[in-house]
Amino acid sequence: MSEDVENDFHHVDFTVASIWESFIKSLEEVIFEWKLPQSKRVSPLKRGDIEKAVWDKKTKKEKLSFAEVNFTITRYILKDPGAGVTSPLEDETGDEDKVQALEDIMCFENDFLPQKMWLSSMGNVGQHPHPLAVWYGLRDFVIIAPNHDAVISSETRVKLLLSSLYIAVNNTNCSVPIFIQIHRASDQFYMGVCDGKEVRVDFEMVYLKRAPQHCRYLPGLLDVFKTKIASPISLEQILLSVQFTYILRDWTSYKWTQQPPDFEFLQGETIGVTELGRLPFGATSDPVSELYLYATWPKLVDSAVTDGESYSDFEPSKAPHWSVQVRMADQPACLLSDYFEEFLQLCHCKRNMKDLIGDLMECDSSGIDISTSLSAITEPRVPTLSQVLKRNKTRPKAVVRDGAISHEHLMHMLYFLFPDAADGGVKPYPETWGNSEETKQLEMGNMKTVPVDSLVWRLSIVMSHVLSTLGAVRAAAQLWYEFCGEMLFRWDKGILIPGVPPGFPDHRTCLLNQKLQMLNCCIERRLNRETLARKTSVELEKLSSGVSRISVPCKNSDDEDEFFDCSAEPTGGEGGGGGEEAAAAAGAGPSRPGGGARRKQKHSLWNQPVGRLYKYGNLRLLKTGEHLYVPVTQDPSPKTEDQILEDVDVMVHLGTDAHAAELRARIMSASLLSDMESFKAANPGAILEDFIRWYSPRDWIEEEGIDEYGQKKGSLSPRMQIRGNVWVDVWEAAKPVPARRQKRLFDDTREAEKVLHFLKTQSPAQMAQLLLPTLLHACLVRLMEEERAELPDVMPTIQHIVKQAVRLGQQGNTAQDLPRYEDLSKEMTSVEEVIAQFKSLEHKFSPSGGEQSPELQAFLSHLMQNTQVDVPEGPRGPIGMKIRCMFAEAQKVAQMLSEYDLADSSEETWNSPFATNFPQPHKRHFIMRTHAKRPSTYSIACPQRLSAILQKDSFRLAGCFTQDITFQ
Amino acid sequence: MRRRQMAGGQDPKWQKDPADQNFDYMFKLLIIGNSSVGKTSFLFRYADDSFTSAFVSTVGIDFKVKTVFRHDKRVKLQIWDTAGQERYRTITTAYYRGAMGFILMYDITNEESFNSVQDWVTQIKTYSWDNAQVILVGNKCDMEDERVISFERGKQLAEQLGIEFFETSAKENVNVKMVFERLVDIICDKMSESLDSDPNLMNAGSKGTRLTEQPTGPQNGSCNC
Repeated sequence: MSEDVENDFHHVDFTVASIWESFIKSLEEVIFEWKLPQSKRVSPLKRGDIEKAVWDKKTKKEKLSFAEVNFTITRYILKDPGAGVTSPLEDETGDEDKVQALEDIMCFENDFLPQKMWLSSMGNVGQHPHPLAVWYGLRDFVIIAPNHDAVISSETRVKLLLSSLYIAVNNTNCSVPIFIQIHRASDQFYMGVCDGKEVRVDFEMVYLKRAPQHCRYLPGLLDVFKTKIASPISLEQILLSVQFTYILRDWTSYKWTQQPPDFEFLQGETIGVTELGRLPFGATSDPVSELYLYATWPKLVDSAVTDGESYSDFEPSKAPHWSVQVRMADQPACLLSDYFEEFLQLCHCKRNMKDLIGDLMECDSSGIDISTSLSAITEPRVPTLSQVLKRNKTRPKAVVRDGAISHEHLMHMLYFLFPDAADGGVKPYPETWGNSEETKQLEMGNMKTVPVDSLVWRLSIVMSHVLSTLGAVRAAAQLWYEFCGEMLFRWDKGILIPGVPPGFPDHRTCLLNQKLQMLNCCIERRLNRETLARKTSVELEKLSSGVSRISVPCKNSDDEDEFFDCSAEPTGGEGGGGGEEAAAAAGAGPSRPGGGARRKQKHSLWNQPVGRLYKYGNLRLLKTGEHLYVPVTQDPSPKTEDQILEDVDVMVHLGTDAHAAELRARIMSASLLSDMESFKAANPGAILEDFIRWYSPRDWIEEEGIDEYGQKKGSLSPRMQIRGNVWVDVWEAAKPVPARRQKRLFDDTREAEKVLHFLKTQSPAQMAQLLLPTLLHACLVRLMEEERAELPDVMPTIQHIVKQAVRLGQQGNTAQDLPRYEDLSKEMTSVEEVIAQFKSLEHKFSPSGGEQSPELQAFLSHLMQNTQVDVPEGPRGPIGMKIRCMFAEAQKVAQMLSEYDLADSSEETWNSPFATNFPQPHKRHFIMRTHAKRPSTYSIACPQRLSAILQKDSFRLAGCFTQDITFQ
Repeated sequence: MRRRQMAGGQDPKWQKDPADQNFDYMFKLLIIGNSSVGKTSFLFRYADDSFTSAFVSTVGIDFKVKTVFRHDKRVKLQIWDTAGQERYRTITTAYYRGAMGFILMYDITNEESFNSVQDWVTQIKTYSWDNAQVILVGNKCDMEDERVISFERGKQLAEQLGIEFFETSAKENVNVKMVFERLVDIICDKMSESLDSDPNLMNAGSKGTRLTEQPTGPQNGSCNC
């Protein structure tokens, strides 16, 4: 020391001479900086405060170093559990000398704090609250721990550290306990001290792998406690708190697991529908892995209890207080999530169809075409699916066996997808397409998928079954191939595809559904055309055979195309023209007798009106005074969204100048030309003004005065009068041609072939991507079905997923968005897990289902929050009885097993023959408390405490002993 | 909001000439409303600053392009002008999807065009994305003598529908620019809002259209909306 001073006398502070002293000083500095001596006493804690409230962790890493070991000093302090509740007690002036730490260790409310454990990402076990809080009931303490891997183990170093700590604490009067971490952090071995105002408080510890023989039961532990206190006079009563922990791992009949649908087993009459149309849900292993039962005896008197090898008062079924906690399994395999996950994998699949089912395709291409072309001639118009499926039956067995779906399974799936082909007993598609209430509620309707239970919906679910349980990728490819085959068949035979919402491709639905709607549109148009052709030929036959003419009125707009061109001549004496009959049918106005007769005179043979739909109000042609007829027009062309995008591309590509705009107008005018031609055909002698009055009435400006036919005079709007504008040009170019004789604007054959080609050329990954959004939707609906009101976090999560899914749908690029679908998959997994956990608990505590008491409901929902939950009425309540049954059943099984290998297990530890219904306690925790005069007879009586925690492979004593430092 | 994906993506056809890529973001807007309320005039006034008393009645659908600066970004507006005639409904509604904004127009001198507003709103709800933004516009406000729809009625309807409202005149150039600028602003706000509330979108934002981000590739700005 003196050398140091001499060497560097300019800078050395003479009061700080050795590293030891500087360590103490820096320790004191921290104590002052954190204002530990001034820490105020707050009101006693209530039960649950320590576990529920938030802990504040204050850490300081620098400064503290001693003998080349750096230390981290951390303060753990409980934040105010509730404003006002633990506000500093300033009014109780008489208690000023009392110390918070001493009050806390003697407070019974802090006993047996439940400790949550978790595995952190580093593989370390995290614990909350800190074990020191659990062992001592402390709410404010400081730990000094060596940094990194440094370990303080040698006795001398421990002593040196502790004595520095004593000095620092003494110098500062620090009433917050300060601990030193000894051995490795995982040993959780701490010794500490605090200044208790007139008393010194030592925190000591014993940690062994095995309990010494004499410490296995309570009397031995009490002896240890008494010996340690070594009070010169006999002790006051020792108060005890005891808690035994039991673990239930074998659920026996209370196990809750779900199995994936077993199609092999169900094969027979009942397979299909219910299983095929439903996604599985639940965990394949019990999602609740363990139940911890805590039997507690609070505040016993040491002399009143017996605990020993042959008999113990600590029989769990007699404990006054029970609480339980469950440990959930780590990521149990959940069926629904696994299904979705597998589907996502398929979206990444690099293989092509030929790779997977090339043999099948070859084998078919030789067989099918001939059979279909033949059947087109020989078979009735509406075949059943069995005929379709025949081609599968005739397929060589070798192919079927080769890893793909078995024929029976395939049959069931196809019948499920195309129930119209079955004779009955199969679930038909709903009559109307709408969203159920719950999907509306969640705005699932905004998802770009398909209506619930439509064809694409079913296909996505069946595909998912196939992928997960019926033969994986190859089978999925086969199902898709069969599906495409069926589409081709239906187009060939003119059979509408079932389960597809009617009408034009709905751009709010997914692309695959739009394609199928398109195909249906094509089939419908083709059928209409063919019916019309047949009718016409019948008509012609009748005409030629001299049978009187029958006019076929057009009934509704669906039949526009098959409008039968009516003769202008009256059919009977009344004089109603065919066109007028059509008008009446269409409800567009009364037919007027005599009209036909007049027309007859007006129109020359080469100028007969054709393709009239109905009379347009009372309007008459400006030049001829003839009624203005709405013509039968070509239906607008249905388009799928990818086609619209192509159109947009073309238009955008033309550029933005005036010329391009005109070009676009020309392109767009195809339907205008068609409409004008139909109009001219239906209204011989019509002029552009007539057309405009029907087509764009706002461009007809009425003027004063009445024309010769009693109509208001008028003229075209200025914009229609612009010379050379599209409307005028097209009008001049238009010839009177009725819709049915015009060039078709929509070529159904070509469009249908496009769709079929699209379907056929999808790779397995593309196919999966087409179905993925719908499967996601189906999964969400399934989750909604299982959702429980008792789980308040579930709905918001589902809502969040739906929101994301809606957005993903709008982005419309599944391939690019796959990573985000994966995120959603993870979220769904967590939801499924939570619901499965709840169902499992419910199964355990209320296996019969039925009405649950509010008590049980509260109990279950608390258990779900992963906390320790009190069992109402302890072991005697209904829930307690249930738990006893579970343990008893598990014990029975365990005993039966142990009888088998009785020979090996003759030497059992802790054999307690009295607790047959319960296993060995996993943990026994004794807390002993008393006040004792230490170290001498005239010292004040100060609190003493010892916690003993006995487990199979660990034995820990955590003691807190105080002694009077004034009256020694 | 959506980048060129479905038809374009890797489609060489979509590779535009360099001059065309002179923007950071592209918004697709649609002008809809009854026939002859002045949709085309409105668009010409905005895009070309020109006005003629009579534009040829639009056949089907057409578009114009205008690039504006917003928050230091070049925003290319692809504005689609639609035919108002009933007969063109099926054709034009097919183009609704992907539009980020709608200008719903009526003619203050024409009662019928005002009465149809509700129908048009229904059309938007049915065929467009759910986050598409709409502004109600009463056009031809220069023709005060022939006015049949008061400003208050327009305002009230807009409030009912929860959308913003302007009276404009393409002829006198009243509020035309204002309507477009406002619509672009609303769309931008909505976009940042949904990006902020959803961190996932933010991650995807580098490929998408987050306003505060610099586009990275040659195609990045061309959101196909």
